Amino acid sequence: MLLLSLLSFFLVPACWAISRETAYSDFIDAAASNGGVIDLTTQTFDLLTASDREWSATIQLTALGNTYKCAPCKQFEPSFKTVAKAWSKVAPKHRDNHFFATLDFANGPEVFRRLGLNSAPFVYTYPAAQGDRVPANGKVDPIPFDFTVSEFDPKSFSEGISRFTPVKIPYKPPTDFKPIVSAIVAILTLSLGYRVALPLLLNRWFWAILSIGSSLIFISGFMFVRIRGNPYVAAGSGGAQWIAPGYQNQFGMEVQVVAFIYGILTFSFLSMTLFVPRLPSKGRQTLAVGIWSGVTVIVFSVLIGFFKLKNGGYPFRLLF
Amino acid sequence: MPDAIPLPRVAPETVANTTSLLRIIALSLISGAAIASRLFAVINFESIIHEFDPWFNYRATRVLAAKGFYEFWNWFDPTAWYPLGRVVGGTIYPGLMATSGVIYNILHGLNLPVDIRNVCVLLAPGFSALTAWATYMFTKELKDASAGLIAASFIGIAPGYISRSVAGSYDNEAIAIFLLMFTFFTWIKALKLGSAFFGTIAAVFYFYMVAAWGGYVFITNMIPLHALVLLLMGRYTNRLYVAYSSWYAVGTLSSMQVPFVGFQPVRTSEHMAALGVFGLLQLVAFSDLVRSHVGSKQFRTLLRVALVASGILGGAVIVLLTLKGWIAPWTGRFYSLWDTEYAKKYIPIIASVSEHQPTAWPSFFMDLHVLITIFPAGVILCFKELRDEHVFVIIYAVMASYFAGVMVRLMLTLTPVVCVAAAIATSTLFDTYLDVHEPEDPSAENSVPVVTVSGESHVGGTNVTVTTPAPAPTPSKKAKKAQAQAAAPASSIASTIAEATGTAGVTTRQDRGVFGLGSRLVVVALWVYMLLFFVVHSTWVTSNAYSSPSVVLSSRNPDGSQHIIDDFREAYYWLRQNTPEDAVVMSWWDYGYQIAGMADRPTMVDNNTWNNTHIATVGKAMASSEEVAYPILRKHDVSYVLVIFGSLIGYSGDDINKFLWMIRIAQGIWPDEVSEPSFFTPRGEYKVDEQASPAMKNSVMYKTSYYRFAELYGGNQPQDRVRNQNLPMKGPTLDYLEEAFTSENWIVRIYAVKGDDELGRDLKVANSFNEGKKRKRGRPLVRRRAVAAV
Amino acid sequence: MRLLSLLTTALLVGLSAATSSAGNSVLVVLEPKLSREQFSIFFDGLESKGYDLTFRAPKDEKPVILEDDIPAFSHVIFFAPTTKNFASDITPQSIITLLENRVNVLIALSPSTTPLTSLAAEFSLILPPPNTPLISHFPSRPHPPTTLAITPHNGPNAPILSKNLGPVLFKGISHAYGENPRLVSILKAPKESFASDTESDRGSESIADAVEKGGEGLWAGGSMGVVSGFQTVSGARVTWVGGVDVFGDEFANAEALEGVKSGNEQFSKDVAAWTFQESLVLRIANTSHHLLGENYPRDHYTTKDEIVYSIDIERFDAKTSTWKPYSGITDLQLEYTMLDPHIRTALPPIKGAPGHYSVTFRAPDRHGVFKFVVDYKRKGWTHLHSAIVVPLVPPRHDGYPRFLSSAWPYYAGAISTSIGFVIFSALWLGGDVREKGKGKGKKAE
Repeated sequence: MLLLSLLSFFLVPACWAISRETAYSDFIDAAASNGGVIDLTTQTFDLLTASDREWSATIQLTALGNTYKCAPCKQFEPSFKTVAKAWSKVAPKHRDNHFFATLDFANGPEVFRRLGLNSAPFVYTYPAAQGDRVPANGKVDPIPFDFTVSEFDPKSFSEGISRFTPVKIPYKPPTDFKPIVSAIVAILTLSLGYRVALPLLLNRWFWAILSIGSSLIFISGFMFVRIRGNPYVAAGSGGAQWIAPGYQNQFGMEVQVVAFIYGILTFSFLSMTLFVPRLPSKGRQTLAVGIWSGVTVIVFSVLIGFFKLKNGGYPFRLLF
Repeated sequence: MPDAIPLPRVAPETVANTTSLLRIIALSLISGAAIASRLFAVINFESIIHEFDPWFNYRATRVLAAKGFYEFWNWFDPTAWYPLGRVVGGTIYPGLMATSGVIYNILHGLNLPVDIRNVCVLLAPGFSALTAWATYMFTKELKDASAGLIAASFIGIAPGYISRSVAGSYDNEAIAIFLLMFTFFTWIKALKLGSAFFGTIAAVFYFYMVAAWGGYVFITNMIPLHALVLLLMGRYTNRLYVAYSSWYAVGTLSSMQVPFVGFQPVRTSEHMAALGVFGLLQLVAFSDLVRSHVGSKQFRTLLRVALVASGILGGAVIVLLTLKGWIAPWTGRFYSLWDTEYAKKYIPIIASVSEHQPTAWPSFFMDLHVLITIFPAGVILCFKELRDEHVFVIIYAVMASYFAGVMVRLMLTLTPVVCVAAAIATSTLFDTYLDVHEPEDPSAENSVPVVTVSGESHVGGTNVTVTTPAPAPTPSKKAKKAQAQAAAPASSIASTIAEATGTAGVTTRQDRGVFGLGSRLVVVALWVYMLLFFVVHSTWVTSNAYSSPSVVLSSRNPDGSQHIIDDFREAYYWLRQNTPEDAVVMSWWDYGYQIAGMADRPTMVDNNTWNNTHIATVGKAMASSEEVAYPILRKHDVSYVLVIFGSLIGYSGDDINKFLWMIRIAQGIWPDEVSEPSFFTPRGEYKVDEQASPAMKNSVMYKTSYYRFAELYGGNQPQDRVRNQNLPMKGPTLDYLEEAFTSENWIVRIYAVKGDDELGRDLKVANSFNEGKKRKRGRPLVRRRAVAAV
Repeated sequence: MRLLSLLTTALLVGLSAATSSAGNSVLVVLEPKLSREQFSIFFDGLESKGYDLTFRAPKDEKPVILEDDIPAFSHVIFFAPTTKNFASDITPQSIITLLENRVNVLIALSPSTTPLTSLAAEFSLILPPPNTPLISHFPSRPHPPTTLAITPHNGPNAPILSKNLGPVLFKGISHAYGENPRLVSILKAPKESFASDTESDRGSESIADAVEKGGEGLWAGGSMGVVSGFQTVSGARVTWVGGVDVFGDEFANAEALEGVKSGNEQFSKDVAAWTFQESLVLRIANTSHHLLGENYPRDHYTTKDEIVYSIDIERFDAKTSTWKPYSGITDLQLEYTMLDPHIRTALPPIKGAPGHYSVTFRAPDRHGVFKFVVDYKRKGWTHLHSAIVVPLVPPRHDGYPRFLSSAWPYYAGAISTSIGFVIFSALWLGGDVREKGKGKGKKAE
């Protein structure tokens, strides 16, 4: 009895040591086999983040299963993969000091529970806790990667993580052929369709429509939606809701609606100014004037109503 | 031809005189309206300088008025950016201060002892009148005087411009918009006449603009763009050459005299466009000259090739210099206009400023109302008759609407062009519908009865028979005659009026016009109503939205009467009267200028955000725990910490709401000491209640905000009325700071930084000792370990 | 600020006719067990120096040491080593308040635990467990092992104790030192001494164990102190004595070793002198700064100016109870600081000008709000601190060189261009009518 306990007492550290040794080589192999990313379970997670680790590790905690409906996880997954792949190209003596690993919620829910995470994805970087790669400030507890300042794209991710890796991650963004191709296409079309394009380019009304269109879009808050990355419509209570609440906020669809309203008003104004006087007969003029004035009044009061929706305190109204 | 209404006969010169008289009266009335509508702030509150930057301008102006221009130029302000200090002369646009200084001196020269504060407060309204006049002149160049008058009245009351120029908002924009419009006017004038004189005037006002506002870069790029477009349209003339060259040469040289600008016009990319166009113009002019003298075709082709080559060469040189770093790349503030992601990522300070946010459509409508709907029409009309100046307006319209969309504050540059375009449109409309001429009605033609009467008359014995086929019966003939007679003078009067008001040539053609009074009345009434609506709207917006000096807040009592909340000045005056002269006050940078202006105390950071690191230091001090913050505070000799706290009365612009920016900016400098995620709950929410993250609860900002707040509720559940969250029943405690002052509504809270402990203990320990807590018995320090470690 | 208070208090002191620089009223809190006679030599010595002593038992209500936080005496002696509970006005907190008001305190301890022992921790003095007096068996002497004969040795730069002092008889407890730099060790425990809970050597095993544990809780050896001083931020001085008997007549008259008179009398004199601000008392009489070649201070200096900073330091002379200029400081430093010291230079005494230290230096090429900082902290001596804030501004707009030789190409360019312009316009205007007309036409086309 006593003997047994003694045995176990002696054996535990031994096997622990063995497991650590094997674990390290296992990790290297796993990473090499799987494009630089180790797929973790709870046990391997504990091994990889053991308190006496001499390596550092960047671990992605995600939930890719369709049951979780985690859109950002799917969105981030590829860039994590690419960066890990880029890392696996590094010379072994550096590469084997830092691992990229991913733990899916399905494989290790208790890890999530332990870390108190109830959302995903998260990326934690565990610095080396022993050996010569322990950080200068001695802090060895995991450092979360901050998605709020940098987005999901691999470039910013690799930059963010390169602070912890032994050498900078050799990630190069794939050369973007779109602008080049489009430029070539544009040049070709111009040179081929020269005959067609020239009169168009020389026509003032072409430019007029161009400039009016752009300013209409701009003054309906296009840039706001673009910069803030607001959605086209929001899935609100009871179907899609296309009017953003609040005075300083709007959705993509509002841009179109408002631009359209402005367009109508402009057009009715123009037709009153330019086209009506050209009408040869009195009757038709009176009719046109009536129509366009009606359109102006109605559309403008619609606009006012729309504005009242956005700005509750607005006291005025036109028709309704 | 018939008229809608018969006009009385008046002598042409009388008409001319009356119209000019009316024009003058109208202009003066417009100026009156422009000034009056900006006085809401003074009437509702008092004659006080508004929000933040104006306080510094006001302070600087006081120095200027007291010590004279040279002392002002060499002014080193040791109380700003303590302990770095600020070389004020070299880091500001002195135009505003110089202007009000001149006005002040003139008034005193006339023995009118006006307080400099009132000069500063009323400067913006005064200049708005000038802006109206400048807009009138500008629009007059584009269309005619009536359009000019309409434009002037628009700009006079358009909220988009009032928002930056109410009485008391003593900021650079107050005079800048006038300079903008007048520079553009003189540029157009110079372009039309091809006169170096007006070009130079434009340059002079451009210099004034450069001295007044950083937005001068807008002019610096608008005018070259205009010139370039004209070149591309094949509209090169010597007029363009003369105007541009004189403007650029004189303007650039003079603009380099402003200390803050210095050599930027030749060293930074913002100004390279102007330089490039200048060079291009020289080349084109040269080729033009040669073409006019040399005939041989080969030579011309050779020349053209040489020119293109040299143009490309010049461009290449500029690019090379930029890469070499001789030409600084675009400054962040300017660059962020194009790459809208840039600021958010790399310069959070710029992104944090509220007026640098993009603009949602309601603000466009709020600021411009009906004008925004008819301004595209005005642009179209500009396309209709595409003279050089119309090209300018078109470019201006497109560029300005883009910029206004990207930054709220640039709504200011959009407003004038919207007013101008809208005025062109409206006046065209009224020209059409107020013109009394009626066109020939083809359908009415055949309704005129043609009666032939054959009459015979015998006179004496002779027998003569006359048969005259009468083209029309006599009465009708008579009517015709009468009409003709009536028409002659009427038309003449009409034409004179047309000339006087410049409407000539628009609707005098026969094939178009409006029939009858009905449609005229309908359209005119409709648009008069619309414009009246605009006036009402502008007045409402001005009085309600844009006339509060964010220094003094106001709320409504239950009975509807106005309740003034004056915490800021209460606190600032407390500082002024109860703290030593050299007590450094640390607050978030928004309040730096106000503290310097009203409390007259040194501040660590202020609204002139030129030093990211220093601001980040304040952010770090606010975001980290007391133990970490205390050394920072002592190192910077900070003796008071000032925080804005709105939770009691629900003032949403308080520091807890700005806290995230402090964290972000600090994180930019110390990424591994301050990290934004640690201030969110595990669920990623920004909370101040029980679930608030430990980093949040320990931060100096949180502690100083909610210190003793729970006691107000006497055991009931304390509640944050801004965040609408329930606060912990037990508030935070302070060891290194102690509460010094809290204003009436708790908006401003001031804390004193404790000095060293008498025994050099850690202040936390000292506190626990003073509370009589026993500390556990110590043991001798183990020396051997230390030895081993060494 | 602190400098100011230092000066004023010093001034007041100058008026009063005492040997101390901080006033002459002393309160002695003497516990009933002890009688004044036991310490007659010490007290008489003080009185002969001109102090007027007021005695009071720990339990007495009068005279209070603090009335509404205003101290009634300028020095307090606590000879109440075994008193468990004091009158309401004597608490550890109130003693700290005394120090904040620059009252000097002399405290005697004993092996038994009292409120004062708990106070000692605040001075980062670490006392041994209760009832463990310091004992030593070497050298052999006519005393019990709890009475030690300690040969004092001075720090060279802080002569608190006078020279060639005989061995001091001590009976009481030792204390270990914490990290507080304001501590001054006056008398250290002998190497072979240790704290033990018994007279006999039965406790020695515990010490052996302690040694085994790597010094953990080892109350032995020469790193311990028995008499220690402490200077507070405001300049008050506190002296902690491990046992009250050091001041007693018995020890003063006894022989320390065979044939060697004990130095206790002189020792207690010295300790009192230091504690009551008689010895090693310095003050800053005056500081001044000005441009080289001027003699009045500017309200701001320009970058790269040659600035002269000078400071006058005085030392209190107990014999005449006056302040005398003192040039003895050789390691005084001046720091010219904005956030960090931009310039740190020696501030040497000037020959021929007693007590006058001065240095001339070149201001850095960096504008900002700079401070002249003199911060002199030496163990035993009064801490000197002075900071003067003066902005350092960039040159004026006309302060720069006007004509640069390197800029001549540009000057030449400008001049030639303007000459060319004049000639051109002369020719243009002087040209004949036809040409002019043509030119006009060109312009106005």
